[in-house]
Formats: sequence, structure tokens, C-alpha cells
Amino acid sequence: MKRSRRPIERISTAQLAILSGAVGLGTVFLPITSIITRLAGADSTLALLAAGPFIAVLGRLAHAAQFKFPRKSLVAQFELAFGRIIGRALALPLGLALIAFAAGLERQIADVYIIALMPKTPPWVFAVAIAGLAGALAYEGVEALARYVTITHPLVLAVLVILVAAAAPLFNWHHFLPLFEHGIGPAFKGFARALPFAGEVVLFVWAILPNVNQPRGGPRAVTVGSIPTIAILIALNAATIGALSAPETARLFYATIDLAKLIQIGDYLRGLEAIIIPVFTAASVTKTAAFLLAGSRIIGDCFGLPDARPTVAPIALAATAGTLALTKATTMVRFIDFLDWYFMLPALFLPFIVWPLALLRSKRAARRTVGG
Amino acid sequence: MYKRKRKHGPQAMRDIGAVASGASAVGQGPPRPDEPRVAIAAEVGANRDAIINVLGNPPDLALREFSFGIDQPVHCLVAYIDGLTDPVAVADHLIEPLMMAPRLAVRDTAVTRSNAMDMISERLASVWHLLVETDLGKAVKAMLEGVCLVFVDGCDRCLEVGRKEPPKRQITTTETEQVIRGPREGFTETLRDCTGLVRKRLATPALRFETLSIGRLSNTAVSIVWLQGVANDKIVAEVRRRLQRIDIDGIMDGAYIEELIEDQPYSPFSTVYHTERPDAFCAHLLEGRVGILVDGSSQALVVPATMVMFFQTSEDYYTRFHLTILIRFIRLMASFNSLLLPPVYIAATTFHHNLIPTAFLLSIAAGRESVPFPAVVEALFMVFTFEAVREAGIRLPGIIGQTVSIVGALVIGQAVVSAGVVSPIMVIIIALTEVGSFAVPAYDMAATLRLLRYPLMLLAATLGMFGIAVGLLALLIHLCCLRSFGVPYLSGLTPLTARSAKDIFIRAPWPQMKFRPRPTAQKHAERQSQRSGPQRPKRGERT
Amino acid sequence: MRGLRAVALLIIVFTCAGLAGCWDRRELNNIAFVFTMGISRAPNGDFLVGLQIPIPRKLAGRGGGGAKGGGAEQNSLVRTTQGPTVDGALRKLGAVLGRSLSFGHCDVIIVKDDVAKDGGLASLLDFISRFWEFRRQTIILVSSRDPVEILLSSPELETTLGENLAKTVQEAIHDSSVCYISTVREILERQSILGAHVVLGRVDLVNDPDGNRTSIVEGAAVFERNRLVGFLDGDETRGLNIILNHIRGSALSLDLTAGLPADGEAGPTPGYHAGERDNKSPDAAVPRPTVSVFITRFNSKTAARLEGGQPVIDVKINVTGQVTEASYAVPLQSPGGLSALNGALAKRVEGLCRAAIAKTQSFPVGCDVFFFSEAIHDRFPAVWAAISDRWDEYYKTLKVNVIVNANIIESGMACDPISPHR
Repeated sequence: MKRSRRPIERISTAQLAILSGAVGLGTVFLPITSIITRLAGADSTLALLAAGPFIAVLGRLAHAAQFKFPRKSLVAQFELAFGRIIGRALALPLGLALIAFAAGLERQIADVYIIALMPKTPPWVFAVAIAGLAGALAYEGVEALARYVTITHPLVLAVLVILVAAAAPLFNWHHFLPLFEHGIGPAFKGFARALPFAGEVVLFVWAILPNVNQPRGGPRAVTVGSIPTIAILIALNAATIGALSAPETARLFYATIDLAKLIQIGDYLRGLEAIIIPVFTAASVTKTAAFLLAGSRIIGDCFGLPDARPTVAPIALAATAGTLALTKATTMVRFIDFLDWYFMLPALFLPFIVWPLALLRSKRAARRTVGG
Repeated sequence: MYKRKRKHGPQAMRDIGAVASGASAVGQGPPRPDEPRVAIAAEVGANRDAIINVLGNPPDLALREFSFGIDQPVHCLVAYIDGLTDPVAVADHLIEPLMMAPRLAVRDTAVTRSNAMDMISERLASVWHLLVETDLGKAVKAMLEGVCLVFVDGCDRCLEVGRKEPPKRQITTTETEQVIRGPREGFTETLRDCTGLVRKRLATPALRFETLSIGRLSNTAVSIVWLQGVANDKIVAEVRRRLQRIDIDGIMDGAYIEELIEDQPYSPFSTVYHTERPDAFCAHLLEGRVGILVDGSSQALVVPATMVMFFQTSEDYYTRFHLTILIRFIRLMASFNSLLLPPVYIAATTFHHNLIPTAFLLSIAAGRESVPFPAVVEALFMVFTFEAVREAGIRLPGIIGQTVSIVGALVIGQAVVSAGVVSPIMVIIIALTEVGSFAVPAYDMAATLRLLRYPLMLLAATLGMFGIAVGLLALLIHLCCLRSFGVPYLSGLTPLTARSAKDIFIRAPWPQMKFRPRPTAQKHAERQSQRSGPQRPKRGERT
Repeated sequence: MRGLRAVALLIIVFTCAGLAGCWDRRELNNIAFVFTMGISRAPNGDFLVGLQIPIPRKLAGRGGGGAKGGGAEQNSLVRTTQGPTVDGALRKLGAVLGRSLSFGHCDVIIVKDDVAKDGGLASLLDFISRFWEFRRQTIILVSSRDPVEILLSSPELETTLGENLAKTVQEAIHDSSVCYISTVREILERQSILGAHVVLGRVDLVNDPDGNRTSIVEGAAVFERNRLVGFLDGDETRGLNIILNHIRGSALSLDLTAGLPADGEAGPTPGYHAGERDNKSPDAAVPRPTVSVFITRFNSKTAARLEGGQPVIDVKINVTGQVTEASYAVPLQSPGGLSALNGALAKRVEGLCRAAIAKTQSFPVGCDVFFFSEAIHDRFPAVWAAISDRWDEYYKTLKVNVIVNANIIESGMACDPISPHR
């Protein structure tokens, strides 16, 4: 049977904007209040406020560097910059990191459900379900993912806005004062921890670069799509600390769940986290599918496969098995931290290295052919 | 084109039969160019025997042999199938002129054996439709479709005269898609009537028809309809291609064709839309879609279909837009009810008790105290019962059917509650669910939602809200991948542009709906001029 | 079959999951809902936990079949259990009830003061914040009586006691504000703020004329590091609510026996005790001239400033009210009539606040329940750092200025009070 060439898919810039916003958001809203509040305390909102524009500008520059070679995906750009073998060797860990991250996300949503709604259900049920859905979506490709995201991303954003609105009456700005009580240090730590979130988007966009229809509008689209994401994350952090106070937020596992439990309609309708957390599942599937897609493409390109789709199923299976081997939830948090610091953060700065190298090499190659 | 004068032996019989039934001798595929062509004998008697034998001497075969002409009486045979052709028309317009031929003004030319056929075809047969045929198989096939054959002694050609006038139903109100305001005509089973209804609404030369004959034994006429300059030519070509590759023995209804040309026949969602209303059909043609009319079926098919179409009725466009917004919203809520209400009830009462308000919770708990079954068994039992009652109501005629449905539902509902088999709240839930399923306009979509309810109920029973979320996401992923003739199934919803949003959850007033939907009418997008609708008068202009 | 494979796979997996057993399924008739909980100490030091569990059969809403209101014993079960921790005690109830407990609708928890005095509150709060079924809107109240007695009291017009208590606590904030709404969220918030102390509302029992006993919510209890330190009575709780800006509306009576106070004069401040159903003064057969004012808007701002290097708190309160009942011939119709009462009202409000502050300062350990520590901490972190480790002592001598600006703007549908014509 002839090995199938994957069909050429194209997504528009508007779809790219929504897709990158959704991948950036993913399920960051779950741990963001805990991770950054543990580092920065009451100053975490300020840290995020500072990080937001910084991420937007830095991301814009990074994407501009990526889009310089619009029809070349990540591995192709690495090959151009570093040479064939070294380029592939450098790209492969990034692909594996994406897959590992996807595995971590499966576990994360499993933890959320087990903590908040269904404590006796074993984690494999959730992991397998998310893996199945995300695997199917990753198999179908970027266009299907873009269409899926166009429907679910506004829904997730709306739910997060409702969360923030529910916390608004309880907001107490005294919880933020005094500013910088322990100096700039904690705030800076929180600021630095926010940067890897942009790296995740950089990696994902890099992997699907050939599928963007109008590459010229690419960088701008990604930045525009990231703005609602950044805004809602900052608002969520502010709302959580305002409603619950910083030490209490840092004490909790996922403070966003407690915010969800605060919502009530009148006196009678409570317990709405049972509806809100399933909406979070949609965001989890988005990000897991996006990372499985990007990771399988990178791995496929590294091994020279023309069509990476058959690899999605085994990769998803391996990821799920791996995530179930993590027995403790705290291990998972540390695992994601490790991935973020050592893979996603460098990924944010890689375009600035790859682009000049690739440019130099192609110029040298051109000179060689002209001269010799 | 060879002329072999021979008697029609047994092989010839089989060949005639083979050609008449539109298949080659091997029995696969549409007629191929190299199949045997059976010549028409020059002798009328041989032809008559051939026809009787190949058709198996049917009782409704009408044969009339007579001679005409004075100087040299020419023997001829008129054959037709009684019931498909109007005998009075045949007699008036064909037999009478031939018999009166000598008295008519054929002054300068006498009717002889050699020119009899030409005389008939050019001077004597006062009919609209006339064709000369050389192949007996094809002639028999045409006769089975309703034409009249004329054989003349000494001529190896025959005439096909007239056209189909099969028994048919009058054009009446649509039974399944009723409106309060709007046209009430509905398609009938006769293709010619249907094309007439379409032509009268779109009186433009751009309206194109292309007829194919599908089905080896049924030879059903299927017509592709589109508006040239509005519809996407690639879709038209694709429709033609898919219809031509259908190889089946008979087409009884458009539904056969629907399943044979769908992108994904195994999907629960129908990707081909069907309607009984000519006005809805024409409205879709105007949007750039391609229609398929099937002879013998009162439902016309429309492709490509998007999910949004199944939630719209033609009445939406005939009532004022304010009401349409409300109605569309209610329809949406009703379809959610139909799909999700039993699963959410099961999930809430089994897994997520915090979700239910306290007083209501006590009420439900009290109702469930005496019920031995878990919520999911209760729900399945009631849903099955309701579906059975509904099905029974359809099968029984007229007023009995309606009475049985209503009485059955009420009595059974009341009885099971009193007996303590089912809790009272379950009856309410099921009633709301079924009412919701009636509110979905397209029967296909309503059926799909009814079907999908069951897996969702099972998922809710095993995993609560997570199960429902997983089920809905699986459906969403499936819908995202679904295409109808290349057009994504969720086209209006994703991407949601200002243009498409005007006709999904609301219906913008007509002056606002300036553009056709994108995927089907990419090149010819403008529907009305930019200046239609009320305009503010320019300064200085007198109103 | 694009996308269909995923659906098929999922259906298979979950059918298998269903066969293996649905882990979190709990049918409604296998659950005992807990609406109210009461915690006290058993003689051997264990936690004694009392639960009120409604009986659904008796509380069915159909046609009013179930007996509502008259006697909680008929509509709900009250059961007790004991164990070394709250969680441990609760798990023992399986042997008694045969159904699993569900706390999703537990609105009120009543804690006896002996548990509160020896720090058992910490155990309870930790249990609540870890257990997913509890919400942060659950109210915790303290009682001097045995909580089980309160659980057995009449639910008044509601179906269950828990509903009644929750509603009472929340309704009171609109009328008299003599109780304190202590939700779990607020308690945990107080715990995380340096220098702030926890306050819980109080609940007690009174005898009704028709023979039942009803719960009544009045007053507050103050804690220091989860140990009970002292109580605030109704008026002091009102002062607390005023300073914390929790009040939606409150009725105050102004005793004008001494006439309308001129500016700067202190007037007598009669008390209003919700427990006394008849408002007779102890020492006269003559009814006192009283004007009743209903406060419609309270606005209170706490600010810290430095006076000579020492932090001082200013509490500025704006009060808007309307006259609801006047038996004193105040000339309300004249231009200055309404405003003449302002002084009296301001004095009354100030008195309430001062009473609350004074009481908390007089406890063995000074308990800052007004978030004054936060006010100082936010504005003067350096000063706060100096006094934070001895804050409780410092609080006892903290200078607090209460400045009230009262404004009575309405008098209902009538202007002048009724005065019989001679």
C-alpha cells in the first residue's frame, strides 16, 4: 500500500489567532494561581501584569523570527540552521517534551476531577478518555483542531469570565497590600515563572507553521490571539487573591476550583462546579491534542516520515501509560515545572538563535553556488 | 451501425432483454458501448412477437395493428403499456391521423412502404415528442417508461411517440413541513411535476437540469438541479460523479441515493438535507446549493448540507425577524433538552447532588424512595416506553393514532408513578425531552438526537458529568471532521463571521442579509444589492 | 471513518468501565443528607458530632403531605457519634445509618464553646477545607448549649433547622444585625491575615409561647488562635458589623429621655436586646420617649495614621437613615427637625462601635477583629514590622477614633409624630 502523503491543510489567520490563544490558555488557569502565588505571594498579580506585555512583545518578536521561513516547520528550520543531523537531534527533545507535557495535562485534569467531584474514580479513566479524544483530534489534523477550538475557546473564556465575576463581590483589595512587602525578589520569581507559558505557544506555532495560509499576518494573529488569554489569566489571579487572600490561595491545590465553588445563583442554585469543571475538560482536550499534534509532527519529521499521522496513536498510548505511572500528584507538579523551565523557556528564545543561523547558512550556501 | 436482418432468435431475446433492462450481459454496470444492439426487424409481426416474448406477455401491453394508406396499404403496429400512457391521447393524435391519412392533404405524395415512416414522423403524427429509434432493446425500455412505439412494415426503424403520463398524485399540502404563513405546495412523486414547481419559482435560464437514469431494474429518473452562476461548479461535478457511480438494482426513494452518495454514511448525522417543500428547495438553490430530484420520491435532496440547515425552517423566513429570534432560541433549547435532559438528570441525581437545590432535592429523594431501580434504568425504561407509544401512534391510522399516543402516554405515565416503578420527576423529564425532540424541524436531526441520547445516558450513568462532557466532546470532534461534499459540516458556526452569524441563532432582517453563505457560493456571493432596504434620504432630497 | 474511530473507542472503553464498576455512583436513596452538624466534646476528650439528617419521605413536597414545621424529630433524624477527629467520628456512622453521608447541603455547623475553648476549631476547619463536599459558604456558629439540643429545636417556618438557621443569620443582617455571619471563607480569610482574629456568630435557644424551643442567633464569639477568648453581646456585635461594613440595614432606637442632645453632648445610650420581646424599661411605668430610626445605608472606612510615631486608627462612618417610629414630639416637619436627630443617632452609632472596641480590648488577650492590623500593615509596613510580634498586647492600648456622620433624610409617609389634641 502506498504510504500516504498527508493532505495539505491550511488555516486562516483568524483561526491561527484563536488556536494560539486556546493553546496558550489550555489549562493554565488551573495551576496558575497556585504556582505563581506560592512564588510571589500577594505580588503575583503585579508580577503577571508585568509579565503580560513582556510576553506579548517577546512573543511577537519570536513569532516574527519563526515566520521568516513560512513553509518550513520546526525541524526544517533547525536543519537549515544547524545542519541535518544536529538539527534533528536538537529538535527531537522538544518534540518529546511536548508529548510529556501532554501526558502531564491528562493527569492534571484527572487530578482536578478526583479532588473536586469524583474522588473514588481511578485516574486511568480520565487519562484514557482525554487521550482518546485528544488523539482523535490530533489525528484529524490542524484544520479539525482549528474548528474545534473556534467553538470551545469562546466557551472556556466565557466560563472564566463568570468565575471572575463570581469572585468580584468578595474582592478585598487589602489582600494585595502592602506592595512588595518582601522586596522585588518574590515578584521577580513569579514574573520569570510566567515566561514559559509563552514558550509553549512558540513551540506549537513552530510545528504548524507550514499550515498557515497567509504567513504575513501570522505573528500579529498569534499576538492578538494571546491577548485575551493573558488578560483572563491576570484577572483570574487577581480575583482569587482578592477573594481568598494570598496565603490561603498558596495553601490550596487548585484555587480555581474553590472559585468555581463560590458561584451561586440566588440562594438555590449552588454546586455549579459540576458544570464548570466539564467545560475545563474541553480546554484540556484542546491543549493535549495540540501538543500531541505538534509533538508527533516533530518526531515524524525527525525520523523522516512523510505523514506523521500513524504515529499519533502509539504516542498517545505511550504518553497515557507514562502519566499513569506517576503515582503522586505532587510529582506531577514538579514534572511540569521541570518541563517548563528546561524546555519551554528555552523554546521561547530559540527562534532568535535559529533564524540568524539559518539565514547565515543559506547565504553561505548561495554564495558557494554562485562563486563555485 | 450495422444492419443485420435476422429473425429474433433466443440469443436476440436475451440481448433485447439485457439492453431493455439497462445492463450488459454480464450483469454489472451501466450499459457499455460495446454491448449487443438488436436491430428492429423489417417485419411488424416479428417485432410484435419479440416484444411479447421479452416482456413475458404482460396483461397491460396494448397492441394495435392496422393498415393505412390507400394505394399501398402499409401495415403498422402501435404498442404501448396501458397505465403509463393515456390511450385517448394515443388514439386522438396518432391512430386517428394515420387512419385518416388518405383523406388529409397529402396531396402530392402517396404513402408507400418506403416513405411511410417519414410521412408519419413528419406529417401525420400530431404529437409533441417524437424520436426515431433503431435499437429494439432501447425501444422496449422507452416503452416501459411510457412512450408509444410505432412499427411500420418494411422499415427497420421505429418511432417513439409521446411521453410518460403515469398515474400520479395531485399536488397537495406538505404533510411533514407545515407552516402557518407561506406557500403550501409540496413535491409529488412525479419528476415532471416537481421540475415544473421548481421552474415556476425560478423562472430564469440559469436554472439547469440534468437527468440521469439510476437503478438497473428501476431505471429511476434522477435530476440534478442547480443555478448556473450561483452554484459552485465543482460541487455540481462532484454530485454528477457520485450519482453516476451508483450501481444498484432499484431506487425506491431518494433515501437510497442519500445513503449512497454521502461522504460518511456511517455517521449518525445526515449530511444530505431533504425537503418536501419547493420553496425551501428553491431557497437552497439560491444559496448556491445543488438539488437532486428523484422520480417516485416526494422528497427532494439538497447538497451540500450543513448542520445549521437542519435547525431552520422555511417559516423562519416568512415571519418577522423578531419572532424568529425567539423561536430559534426556543428550538435550540428544545434540542438541548432532547439530547441532554435525561443524561443531566441521571448525572445530577447519581453523582452531583450538590447541584440540585435543597428543597428540590428532598422532593426528588422522596419520590425515589419507593423506586427500586437506579435512575438510569428508570430513564431508559421511560424513554423506551415513550418511543414505543410514539411508534404505535404513527402506525395506526388517523384519529386512532393520535388518541393512542396521548392516552397511552398519560395513562402509562400516571400508572407507573402510582405503582412506584418510576419517580414522578422522571415522567416530567421524559415529557420535556420528547417535546423537545418534536421541536427540531428536520426529522433526520431529531432522530439523530434521539439516538445519541442513549449513549449519553449510559455515559452519564457511569461517569456523571465527566461522562457527559466526554460524550459531547466526542460528538463535537466528530462534527468537526465531518464534511458534506467537501463543505465542512459546521460551516456556519466555525468560523463565526458577521456574515454567517446573521442566519444561525437569529435571522437578521432581509435588508441585512446581503450575502450568500460562504462555502457554497464563494465566487458569487452577493445576494442583494447594497442599497436594498430602507435608505436614509440624502440631504436636500425630497422624500 | 474520520473521527468515528474515536467515538467507537470511547464507547467501548466506557462500557468496560461501566462493567468494572462505577466508582462514584451514589443513588439518592443510598444517601443520608446532612443539613446541620453540631460539634462538642465527649467526656473522654473525643469529638462528639451530632448530625441532623432529614427524612425525605416525610418531607416530600407533594400536596403538603408531610408534616412541616411542627417538631423536628418527626421530619429529621438527629444522630450522634464520637471519635478522636471529626472525620473519624463521621466514618463510624456507617454502622448506624446504612447510608453514606453527603455534606453538599450542610449549611450550618454549630460548635460548642468547650470545643472552641481548647482549640478543636482548627481540626474542624481543616477538615472542612479539605473535604470536597463542603462549600465555603457554610456558616459556623458557636453555642454555649449542647448543639444536639439546638439540632432538636423547631425549624420555625422552614422545613429543616439548617435552612432556618441559615436564613435567619442572613436575614438578620437586613434588620437588626445583632448576629455575625461567619462563613468558612471568611474564617479562613481571617486566619491568613496577620493580626486578625476569628469571630463566629452565636446561637442560643429560647422558649416559645407555644411550648417549642427555638434557636436564636445573637451575638458573637471571639477567638485567638482558634481558642475561644470571649463573647460580644448583641449591641457589640452590631458595632462590629458597622465597623466592618457588613450591615445592609439596621433599626436603632434613640432614647430621648434627656431631650435632644446639643452638638457635643453625650446622650444616654439605651440598649436594645433582641431577646426581650417586650421593650419595657426596667424602672418606670412611664414609657420612654423613643424615636426609632432605620438605617438604610452604612458606609464605614478604616484608616490608619501616625500620631507621634504611633499608629492610630480612624474609623469614619457615614450613616443614612429614616425615622420609622416616633413617640417623642420631635418637630420633624420643620427644616431642622430631621437633622436635630442626627446628633442623637451619631452618638448611638458611636456608642455601639466603642462598646465593641472596648470589649475586644478588654479580653485577656487583646483581639483585633476589626482588621485594624491590616490597616496599619498596608500603610505603614515598617511600623507594623516593629509591633507585629506583640500586636495583641499593643491592641489593648490602641487608640481608635470613631467619627460618625449621621444623616436622617426621610420619615416615612408621615411627617410629624402623632400628638393627641387636648
